[in-house]
Amino acid sequence: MPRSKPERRAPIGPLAVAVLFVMLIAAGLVLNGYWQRTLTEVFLVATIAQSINIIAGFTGYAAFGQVVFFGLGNYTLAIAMTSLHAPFLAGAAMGSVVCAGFAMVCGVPLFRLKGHYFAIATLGLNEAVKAVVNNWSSLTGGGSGISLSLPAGNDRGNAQVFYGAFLMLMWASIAMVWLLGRTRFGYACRAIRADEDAAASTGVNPLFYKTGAWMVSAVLAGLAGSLYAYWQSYIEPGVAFDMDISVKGFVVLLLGGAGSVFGPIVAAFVFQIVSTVTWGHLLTFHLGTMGILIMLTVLLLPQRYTWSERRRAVVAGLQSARQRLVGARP
Amino acid sequence: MLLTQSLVNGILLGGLYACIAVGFSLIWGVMNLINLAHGSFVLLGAYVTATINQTLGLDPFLTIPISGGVLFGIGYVIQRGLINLVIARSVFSTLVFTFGLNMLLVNLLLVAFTADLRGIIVPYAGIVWQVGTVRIPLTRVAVFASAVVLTALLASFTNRTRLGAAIKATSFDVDAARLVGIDVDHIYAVTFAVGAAMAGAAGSLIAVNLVFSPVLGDYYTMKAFVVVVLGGLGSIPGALVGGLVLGITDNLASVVLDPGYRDAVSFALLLLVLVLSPRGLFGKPFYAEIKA
Amino acid sequence: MTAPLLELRGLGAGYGLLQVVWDVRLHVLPDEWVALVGASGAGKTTLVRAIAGLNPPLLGSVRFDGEDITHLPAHQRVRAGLAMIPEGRRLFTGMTVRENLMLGGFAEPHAAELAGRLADIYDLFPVLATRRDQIAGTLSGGEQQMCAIGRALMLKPKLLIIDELSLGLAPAIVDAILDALIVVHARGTALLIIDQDVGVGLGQADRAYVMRSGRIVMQGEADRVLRDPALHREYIGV
Repeated sequence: MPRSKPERRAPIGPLAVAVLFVMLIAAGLVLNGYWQRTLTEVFLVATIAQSINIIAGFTGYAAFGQVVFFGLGNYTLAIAMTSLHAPFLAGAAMGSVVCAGFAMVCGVPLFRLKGHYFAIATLGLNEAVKAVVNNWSSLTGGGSGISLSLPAGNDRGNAQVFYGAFLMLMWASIAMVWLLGRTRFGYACRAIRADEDAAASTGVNPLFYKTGAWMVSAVLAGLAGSLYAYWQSYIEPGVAFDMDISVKGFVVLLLGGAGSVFGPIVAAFVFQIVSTVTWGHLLTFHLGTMGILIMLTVLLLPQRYTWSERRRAVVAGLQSARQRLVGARP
Repeated sequence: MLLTQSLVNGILLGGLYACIAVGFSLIWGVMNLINLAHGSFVLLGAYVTATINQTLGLDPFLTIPISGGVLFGIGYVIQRGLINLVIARSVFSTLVFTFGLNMLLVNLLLVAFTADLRGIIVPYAGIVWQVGTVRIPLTRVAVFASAVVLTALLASFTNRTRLGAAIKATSFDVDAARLVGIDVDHIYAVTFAVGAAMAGAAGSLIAVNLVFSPVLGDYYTMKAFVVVVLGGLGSIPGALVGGLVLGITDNLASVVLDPGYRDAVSFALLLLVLVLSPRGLFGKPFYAEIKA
Repeated sequence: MTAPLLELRGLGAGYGLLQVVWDVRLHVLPDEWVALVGASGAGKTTLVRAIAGLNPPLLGSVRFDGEDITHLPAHQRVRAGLAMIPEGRRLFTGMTVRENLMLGGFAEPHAAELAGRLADIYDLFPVLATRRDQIAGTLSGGEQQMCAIGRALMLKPKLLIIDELSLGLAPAIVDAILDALIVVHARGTALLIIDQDVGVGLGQADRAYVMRSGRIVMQGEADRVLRDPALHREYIGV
C-alpha cells in the first residue's frame, strides 16, 4: 500500500531525548572501565545501525556490505596517522572524503542493480577491498595490520574521551536520520523505496538520491571506523572489514525499530550484553548463541521497519476485527 | 609450461566449483533465497565423508550418496521448519537470517570437530599422470569427473522428472503452481534439500583433495556466488561454464599475480559481471528479471 | 432445486487482519454460467483468491461439491475439481506451451489420459498446437489466455473460474475465447467469469452478481441485470 505522507515519528519529546543525553554523559564520567567500554561499543553499533538505516531503511537498497566504509575509515585514518603523520582530525576528515568518494564512484554502476543483486554486489565489494588491503602490504601492512601510537594522556582520561566521541557520533547519526526524515531529500528516498519507477516519473532522479544517501551513510560508517581505529590503536583487515558489523547493525536496527531514537540504542545495548556474557561464560557457544539471537530477531519481528508502522498496522487490523465482531458496516 | 599446467588445474578445479555452486544456484533461482550457510553445508558433507572414511575405511567417492542423503534430510528439515518462516521477508532479512544460521552451524561444527584442519589421504593419492610437462593427479581427475556427473544428474532431475517440472514451475509463478496442484511448501523444502545434498556431495569431493575446517565455509559460499553470477542464475550449463571460468581465472591469477590477490580477482570478476551483464553468460530470460 | 456446486456463505476475506470483502453469499449450480462484475477495486480478485484458497477467508465458508473447503489448501482444490485462472494469466513464463499445459495435469499424472486431454486442448485452441514448443512468456496476450485456460482444463474441472478474462485483450480475441468457453460449458463445465467489462461478463451468463466496495450489491438473471439502470449507477457511481 502506498504511503501518502512522510513518516510521523513516534512522539518522543525533546525533553526525553535531552534527559537521555545528560544521563549518558553522566554515565561516562561515573562508570568503571568495563561498563564504559561496553557502552562505547553500544554507541558504535548504534551508529552503524543508523548508517544502514539511511541507505537500506530510506532508499530500500540493502547494502549488505556496508562495513566496507567502516573498514575504509579505519585504514585511511591509520595510514594518515602513521605514514603521513597527520593528526587525528585530519585523518578522520580524509577518511570521510575517501568513503564519500568511494560511495559515489561505486554507486554509479552498482545502483543499476536491484534487490539481491545489489546486496551481493556490496558484499563482493567489501570482500574485494578486504582482499586488496590484505595484500597491499606496502601501504596497509597486509595481514599484519597497522599499529597506531597511543594517544597522549592517561588511560582513564582517554577512555572517557573516546566514550564521549562515540556518544557524539551516535547522536550525530540519529540527528542525521531525524533530519533526513523531515527534508525533501528523505522524502525522495522513501519514494524511491516505495516505487522507484513511479518516483522517477515524477521528476525524482533516483541515482542522485540513492548515491547521495549512500554517501551520507558511508561518511557515518567511515567516521565510526576512524574513531574505532584510533581507539583500538591497532587494525587488521579481518576486523576492519568484518561482515559481522554489517549484520549486527541491521539486526539492531530491526530490533530497535528504524523510526525510533531509543530503540536502536536499547537494542545495541541488549546485543552487546548478550555478546559479552556469552563470550565470558559460554565461549564455545558464543557464535551459535549470537546466531540464534540473530535468527530469532528476524523471525519474530515483522518486516516493517518502524515500531510506529507496526503499531499502526496492528491498530488497523484490530479495528477491522472489531467491526467484524460488531457486524457494523465499514 | 607453467601456463598450461595452470589451465589444466583450472579446468579440474572448475568442475569442483561448478558442483559447489549448482545447489546454491538452484535454491536462489527457485526460492529467491541466497543461502549464506551454503558453505557450511559443503563442509558438513566433507566431515561426513571424513568420519565415514575414518571409522569404516570407505573410499570418499563411495560416501557421496551418504553425504548427499544426510544433507538432503538436514536441508529438508531446516527449510520446512526454519527458513520457510522467513522466506517472504525482505532481502536484508533473509540474508541476515541465513548469516545467523551459518553462525550456528559453524559453531556446531567447531564443537563437534574442532578447528583443526582435516583431510583425507586416499591410497591412490600419489598416482599422477604426466602429459608433456603437465602433471595431472588421478584424484583431481576423479573429482572433476564426479563433479560433472553430479551436475548432469541434477540437470536430468530438473528437466526430466515430474518433481523437477514442479520445481521449475514454482520458480516461475508460485500462485499458478498452487493452482495446478503443486504443494509449494513441500517443493521449497525439496528444492532446498536438493541444493543442500549437492553441497554435501561437493563436500565429499573437497575432502579428497583439500584440507578443510569449519571456519572455511564462507570461502565456498563466496565461490558459489561468483560462479552463479558468472554463469547466470537458473542455468546448470551456466554453472558449469561459470565454474570453469572461475577455476581458470583463479589459477592464472595465482601464477600471474601475487597468490594473495587471487580472491581479489574473483570478486573483481563478480563485480564486473554484475555491472556489465547481471544476467551472466547463460542467464535465462524470465529468471533474472523476476529474481532481482 | 439442484444442490449448488459452489456455495459461499457469508464469506469475508482480506489481507492479514484487514478485511476487504464483506458477507458474500454467492452460489453456482453445476450447469450454470455465472458472471461476477464490478469496477476495479471492488474486491473481486480478493474474493476469487479466497475461493481458490490463495488467501484464507476471515469469515464464513466455502462449500464445493458438497464439501466444506474453507480451509483446504489451495493445491488440493484442483483435485476436487475446482480450477482457477488468476488475473494476468500467470503462466510459467520460462517454460514452453506444451510444458505449461502438461503441468495442468500435475495433480493426476496418468500419462495416457493426459495425452488425450492435450489433444482436446489443441482442438479447442489450434493456435496452441502451432506454438506448442514456444516459450510461454513470448506469446501474445490472447494466446497466453488460451494457454492458461487450456492448462486449467487438463483435469476436466467441474468448475472453471476466470479472473479478469478480458484484461488487456482486443475484442476480437475476447470473442474467440468466449466462443471456446461456450464449447467448454456445453461439455459440462460450470463457469464463474469475473470481469470489469460488463458486456464480456454478462453476455453469455445465466446469472450475474455485481460487486462494489467488497459487497454484493446486485444479483439476478444476467439479462435482467444487464438491462437494469441501477447497474449503470454502480459503475459510474452517480
